Amino acid sequence: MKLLITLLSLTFFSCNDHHHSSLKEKLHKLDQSMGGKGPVESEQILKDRLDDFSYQKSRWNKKNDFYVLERFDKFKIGKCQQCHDSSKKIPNSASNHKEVSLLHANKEVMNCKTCHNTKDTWNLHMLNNEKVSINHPYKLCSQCHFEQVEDWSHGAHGKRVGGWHGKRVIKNCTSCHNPHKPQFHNQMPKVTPNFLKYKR
Amino acid sequence: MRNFISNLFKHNKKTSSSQCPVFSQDKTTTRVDEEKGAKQILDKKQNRRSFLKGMTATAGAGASLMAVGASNLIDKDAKEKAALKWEEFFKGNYRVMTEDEKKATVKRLEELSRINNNQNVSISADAPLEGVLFGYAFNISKCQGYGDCIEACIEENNLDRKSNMQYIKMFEMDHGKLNVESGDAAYFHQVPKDDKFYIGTQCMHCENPPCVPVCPTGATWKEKDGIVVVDYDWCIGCRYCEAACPYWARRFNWAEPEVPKEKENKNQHYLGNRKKMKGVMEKCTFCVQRTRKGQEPACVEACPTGARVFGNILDPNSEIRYIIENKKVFRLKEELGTEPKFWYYMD
Amino acid sequence: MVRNFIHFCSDSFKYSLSGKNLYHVWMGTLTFFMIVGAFFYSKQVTHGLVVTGMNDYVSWGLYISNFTFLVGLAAAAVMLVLPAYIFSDKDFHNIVLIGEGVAVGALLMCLAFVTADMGGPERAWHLLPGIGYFNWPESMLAWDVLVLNGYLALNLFVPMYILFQRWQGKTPNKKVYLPFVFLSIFWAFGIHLVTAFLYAGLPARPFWNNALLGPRFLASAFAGGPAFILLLLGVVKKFSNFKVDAQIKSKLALIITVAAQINLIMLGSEIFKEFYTPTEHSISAFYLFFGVGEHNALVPWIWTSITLNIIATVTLTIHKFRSNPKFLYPSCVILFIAIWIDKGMGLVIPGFIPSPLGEFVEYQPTLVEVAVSLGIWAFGLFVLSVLVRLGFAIEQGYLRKNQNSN
Repeated sequence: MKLLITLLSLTFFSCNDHHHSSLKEKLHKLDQSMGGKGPVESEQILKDRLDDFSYQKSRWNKKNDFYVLERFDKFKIGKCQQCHDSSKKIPNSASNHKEVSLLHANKEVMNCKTCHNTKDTWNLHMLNNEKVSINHPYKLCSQCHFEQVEDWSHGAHGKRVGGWHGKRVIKNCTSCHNPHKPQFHNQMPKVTPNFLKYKR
Repeated sequence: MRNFISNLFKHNKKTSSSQCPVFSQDKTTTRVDEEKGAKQILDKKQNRRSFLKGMTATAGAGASLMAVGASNLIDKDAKEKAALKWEEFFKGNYRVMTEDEKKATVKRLEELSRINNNQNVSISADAPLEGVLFGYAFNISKCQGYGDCIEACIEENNLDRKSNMQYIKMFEMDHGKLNVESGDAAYFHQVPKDDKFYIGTQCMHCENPPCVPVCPTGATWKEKDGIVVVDYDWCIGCRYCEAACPYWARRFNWAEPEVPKEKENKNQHYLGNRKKMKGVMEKCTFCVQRTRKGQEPACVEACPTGARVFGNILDPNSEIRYIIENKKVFRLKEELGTEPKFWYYMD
Repeated sequence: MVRNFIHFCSDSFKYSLSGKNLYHVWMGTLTFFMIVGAFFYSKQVTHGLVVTGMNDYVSWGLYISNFTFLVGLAAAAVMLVLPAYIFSDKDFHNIVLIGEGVAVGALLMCLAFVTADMGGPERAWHLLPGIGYFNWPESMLAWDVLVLNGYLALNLFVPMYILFQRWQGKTPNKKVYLPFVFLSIFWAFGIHLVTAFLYAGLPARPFWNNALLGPRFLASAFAGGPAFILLLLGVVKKFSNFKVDAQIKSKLALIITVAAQINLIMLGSEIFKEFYTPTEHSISAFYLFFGVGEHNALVPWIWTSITLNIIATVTLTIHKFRSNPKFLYPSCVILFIAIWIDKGMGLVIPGFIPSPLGEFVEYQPTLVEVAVSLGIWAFGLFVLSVLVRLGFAIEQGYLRKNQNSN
């Protein structure tokens, strides 16, 4: 009787084959069945949310389109053209923009002129002096941080806005990192951990 | 039969106090209801449950309804509340409900929220999206232990404030080990600390979830989009799933959960962040109320360092797919064969 | 026949209400504990399980510890049934009903403990197949529900039939009850194996996830259960004039001894596995036996259990002591206590400490839990007292149809 029960239960338990196929196999199978396409865009679920942001298309990643948040209207100091107007003459002094402290790379590697051009303050410039828009600073950052930018363009670094579905709009490098002082800050954790009440 | 009973209660509201609704039932209504009932005979489970309901109803409702119908002193809301609670108690497992039943129960819950708490919530019963299997990635190099994720999760999911329930657990780790067992989950100081790094855990939404087969009533299961969910109204509170989870992901409501009314997130899902009761299990649901509408979970959206990534792993162009295929990813307790859909990686 | 049966029930009921003063004092004490237990249980129903000492780290506590132990006690009835029917031992034949009475009492206690532990006992109907969703055969808990209720049914039906027949003065028909008796023998092994598989089937808990857990459960059940039955027979002999054969004592004692020895061997095997080459999976065992850091609440408990266990087993092994009631009965008592600790606190609690993510949170039962547990034990003993008295009375001819009860 006991043997019968064991045998019976074995047949039941062995039926659950689907529990043991690996995730990778499942992915492969489903990929193939869908012809390698992504999910169906059934509705513009996130249109409202993305409307809160201003973004531009990036051509960095040739394979998959994505959009980056604009940076131009985010500057707190003020619009550059208030001073940098072609009509005005500005003394070339190192004491300008004293409020900005550069804590990025060390002095031998980087100074203001590495990225900024006093003659064309609307834009940044690469090592080969090619112009870079302030809305696409990643081109500049990739000169040194090419690994991070590569990761960022594919989603392994940085933040996406809007949602996981639909148009891929991601934050720019400078949306999170202050280019002059990129380090993250220290703070207290936002909540007391639940486990704290059990610790003596 | 079921419609007959619910009609009885509805009828009760409209008839005057002197009439006894049980005996003044309109013949045509009964015939129509019986026809509907005949169609439902095909659905055996429904019939058996409503039979049980009917038995108890006939016994109790006869006496109580006569009393209730005869007295006008009882509040209309209380009558409605009682009727709703009655229906809710006898409903079945969400897992096997028809679309209509799901819609009905969601409506009842919204009504109960309005009556009980004077709170207008919207509870959705969104089905899983086609061609979607959710995956999650956590970048250990980026996490600084800030805890914005935990705060956002608590507010989004209406977690019990009294017991400080948190789906997410954050560990402060020493270098030299990737084992969360060696981490400190009780840290509360300025973060990040110089010589430490941070790892967060939550429900891993395994593809082979060990918590699912152990449930004696089938109150927890894996949905088609990969989210492991709990039907809070079906759970009997035996806590076997809590013992079975290798990632300490499940939470039990030891007491009645308390959420300040003004802080309650009113966008709810039946399987997600709706109000729970004491004695039932809950856990991270990958914010099913958000993700089935295309939004990211609250923790992903809240993280200031971008350490959390979420997406559809069936989409070959998704961020999560890129991470799994190109970064050096690992999962916790791989040797258990649970196939969690929560990957960790480092830069 | 139905009228006869009703008469039998009412006769039995009347018999259980009457007895010597000592009987009434005993039942009264038990009733008191039951009422206290019910009162504290009402607090639990009102406020939720937060009134217990359990939490998300140690999510099963005193209730499930007692449940696990009591399933073993219920299974131990087979140790009387087996010799009586398989080996056709006449001595055991007379006391088989006692074993089945113990099984019924223990099973009712099991069901009570599980109900007390549930977060939503009013939802227990969700388990019923058809109107609910019974997750069988996937869930071991579903298996447990099935086998425990089945065993309860078996242990209610067979004695009820036998007693009913005897009460009428008839001989019970072997063809009617013998198949169920044989079924119950295998079923007894089944219930305890299934309960063990509940624990052993969880890879999340390495302390439980081993192959020896099932056999260990059986060994400790067959040591502790018959010990309890032996003590019960001693009590029966002392406080009543029911006749209990002297041979039974020595045979039962032998069963207890062998089972206790096997239990110790299994314990040794477990200790070797955990401590010879400790891995991270052994940390629960370290916590239990030696404590980890400042967390060592269970260490005195387990060492008491092991010491008592060894003393009892050694004493019972020596024939001179085993045949001497002055040593036999105390040995049974300490063996019973040792196995209760070992299976309850020493199995269920360490499985949760540390948590799967390495957190150490210790467990302390609250007054509510202790009161409810005592209440349920009192309830079980109450049922047992009624059934054992009834069983003996009818078996030995004191209670018959159309006759005033003793």
